[in-house]
Amino acid sequence: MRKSIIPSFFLFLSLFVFFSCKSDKEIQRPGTSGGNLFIAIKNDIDFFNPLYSNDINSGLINDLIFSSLTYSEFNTDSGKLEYYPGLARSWKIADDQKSITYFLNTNLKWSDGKNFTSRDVYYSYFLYTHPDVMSVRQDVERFFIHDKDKKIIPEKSFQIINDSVITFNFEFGVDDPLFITGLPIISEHIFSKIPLNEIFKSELNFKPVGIGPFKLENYSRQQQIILRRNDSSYFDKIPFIEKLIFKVIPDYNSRINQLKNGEIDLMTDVRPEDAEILKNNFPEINVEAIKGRDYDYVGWNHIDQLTFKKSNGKILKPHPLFGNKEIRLALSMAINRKEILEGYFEEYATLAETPISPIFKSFVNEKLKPVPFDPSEAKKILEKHGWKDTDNDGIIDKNGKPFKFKLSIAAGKPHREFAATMIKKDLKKIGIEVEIETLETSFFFSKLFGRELDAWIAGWTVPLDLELEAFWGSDLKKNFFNVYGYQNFEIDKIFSDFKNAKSKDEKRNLMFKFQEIIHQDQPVTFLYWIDNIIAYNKKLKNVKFNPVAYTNRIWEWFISK
Amino acid sequence: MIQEQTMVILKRLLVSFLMIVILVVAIFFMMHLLPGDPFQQYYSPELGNRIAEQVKTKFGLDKPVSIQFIYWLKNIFSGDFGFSLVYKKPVSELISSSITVTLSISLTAFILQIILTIPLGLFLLKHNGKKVDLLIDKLALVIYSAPSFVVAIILIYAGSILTRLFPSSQLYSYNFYEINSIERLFDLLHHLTLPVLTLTITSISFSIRYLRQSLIEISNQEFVTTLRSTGIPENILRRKHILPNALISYITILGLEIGSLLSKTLITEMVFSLPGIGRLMVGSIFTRDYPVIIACVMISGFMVILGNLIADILIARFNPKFSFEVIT
Repeated sequence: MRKSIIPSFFLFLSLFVFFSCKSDKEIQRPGTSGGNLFIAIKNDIDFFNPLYSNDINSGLINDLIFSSLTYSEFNTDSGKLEYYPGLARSWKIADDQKSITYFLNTNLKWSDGKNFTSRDVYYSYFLYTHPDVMSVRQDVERFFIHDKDKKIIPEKSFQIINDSVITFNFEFGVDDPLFITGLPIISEHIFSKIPLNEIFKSELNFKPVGIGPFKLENYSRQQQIILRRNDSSYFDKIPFIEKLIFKVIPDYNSRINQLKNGEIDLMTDVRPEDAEILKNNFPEINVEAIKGRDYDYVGWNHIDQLTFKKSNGKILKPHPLFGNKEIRLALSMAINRKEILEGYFEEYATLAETPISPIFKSFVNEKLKPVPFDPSEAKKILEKHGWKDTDNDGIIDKNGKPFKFKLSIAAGKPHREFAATMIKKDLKKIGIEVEIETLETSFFFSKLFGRELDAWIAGWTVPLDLELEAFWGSDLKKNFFNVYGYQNFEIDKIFSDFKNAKSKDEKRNLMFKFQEIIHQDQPVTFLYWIDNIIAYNKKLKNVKFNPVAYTNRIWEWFISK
Repeated sequence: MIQEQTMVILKRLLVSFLMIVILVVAIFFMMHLLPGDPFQQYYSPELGNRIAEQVKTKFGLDKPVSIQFIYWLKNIFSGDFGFSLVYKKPVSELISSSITVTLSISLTAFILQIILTIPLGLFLLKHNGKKVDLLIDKLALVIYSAPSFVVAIILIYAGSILTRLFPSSQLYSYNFYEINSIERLFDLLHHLTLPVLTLTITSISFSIRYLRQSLIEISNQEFVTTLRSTGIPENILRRKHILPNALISYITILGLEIGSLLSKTLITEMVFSLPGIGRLMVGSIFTRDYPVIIACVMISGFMVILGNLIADILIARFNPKFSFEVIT
């Protein structure tokens, strides 16, 4: 399961945060105003409300309708996140990092004409952090001020100074106050009328009143979402494009055909084979790849599931096949990752060695050598651990048990089907028998999170804040996404030290160490970082994609006449 | 006789109703036995499955399945299909907007199929054994053997990519709400042409082979030979004597065709991105949106059973020798 990555908010990026207000870049305005942009999306929006929206496309659309106090952008040259004024024109961070005060843009209006004030900011965060609201961004409450019963105190946490000034107070000095307070703002006058526990089911979740560069003009379920530019937007520059039409087209081939046909102007997640066809045969279409934060891996279950289940998760016994890190290293060495990458992705992916994406530049430990493709060495390691073909059936065995397992994948992912076939072929060469099991997606994730799979291929998206404990921390109950059952207490200490680290160098060194350990332990076999291939019609000008969201700075795009 | 027929129809309706009840109860429990979580979308590294569990409680899915069933049954009798776990809207609202789309395309295709199959059948009978007859028969076999999405893709290629005559997806244009009623009607027709053609062609491929075979068999029967010997012109013989007899078996398969048409509509809606009941059902199965799945199954089951019932009544109407008791 790929985690939704709409504004997340944690400590790490504070190292790079600009602690003072920075004015927006002066934008060249060569474009012409007007025109419609047709964008194909795979699935319908889940909510027109950032309290609940948890899907990537929905997040992008909500970010265009709603706005945050600041606007963030990932600088691909420096590998850092940068902030620009949004609903707030400036801000001031306390020296002890325990508070941030925002000075809001005055004279802003919601799309229904009501004035925007600091009350809206207060109420947004009140809703995000209130348990009855069930917001998917509820975890942000841990940064704010709590009472003895560990309940958040909103009045102390989000302190209204006056209509245009608000201060956020934190329980402790936080690394990145801008990130934590960067959630989209929703209107108090709309949501204060609804009981907190009824907001989730409210019809208003589909009738957004926003304050972003676009506003909702029409929504037809499973058909289209039409956004019209908000001429009263707070942005210095109002978008050029008049309407964004997001067409919901679930079928991949239909999306590609419509792009070729001119029925749509832009689509994401183009398959590599189609990227080449578009490049070579459709001169009116541009193809660009965004280096991103999505990687695929082969997961090995470290825990013996039977014992784990019988003891209700209390007894952790190593998995008979994958419980040993040397065996996992042997498996990684036996898989020809480069061949899979070149066979399917061509130039649209990069080999992965650790869970730190190359886009995070200074945090990538470049001293680590890639795990080599070396089947003979892999075989030697397996032999050292007693795995030999004693009965000459072509499959290695130990204590009479052959080395064979199921490699599970979710249906409908051609690149993973391809990878699974190649892995089966590679492992067969060293005497390991793999049975590929394709499971319906929901069933696959149900088994994955239930720790019922032996081995699988899946993908994660690395959070922008590089908050990785949920994926690699040893506490398996707390760290829900550590589905492989990886435990290394040295890693836990790194996460703990990381939170308390004061200097940028200290944090970087801790991150390097983290990668070293992960590289040695091979909790999973890292496969590759997958680019998001975007194809768009050349009539679309001034397009710059950003790893945060491809729609970043969409207000600068224009359609040539 | 009429009273007897009414009683039989009522009896048939009761059986149909019971069939739907059994179907829905079975689906209710089967759905809840299925692995998978409708709230997987709320899993997150920071919160784990905490929100998913909260939402589950909110929707009453934390209660035992038997209790959930009682609640559901209670609601269904008051006309409440429940609340979609994914769309967060009343299921009845989702169903009513989707069923209109599905019925529009499937009924149009169904009627077109009947309108086209009968003259085509007569044409093939007239040219029985000739090249054109064999060609159409083989072509129908090829189309019938191919999945309906293949026909859809060919039509998209020909009608949309190659000639750019029709849109390849969606129910209407983006500016649908800005145009007048007549333009809207044309816009809908423009968008629905390819989906309806897909369904019509695939349906005809089956029914034409059936009707052709039936017509040939009837035309070889003794009563036709006798009539022919009286000097009745061939076209009158075909239309007035052979066709009515062949129609009886054709009507039987029309009833069955409703069920098959529904499954084809489901695929067609997916390929053409139409917001019909098929797409709603498929999407709901993947997301484990139980209330929507159950409602969709109820509707589909109802349509299939109704189709069969209508076919049975029509057979009895066209063939007086056919007893109602036989079909009950």
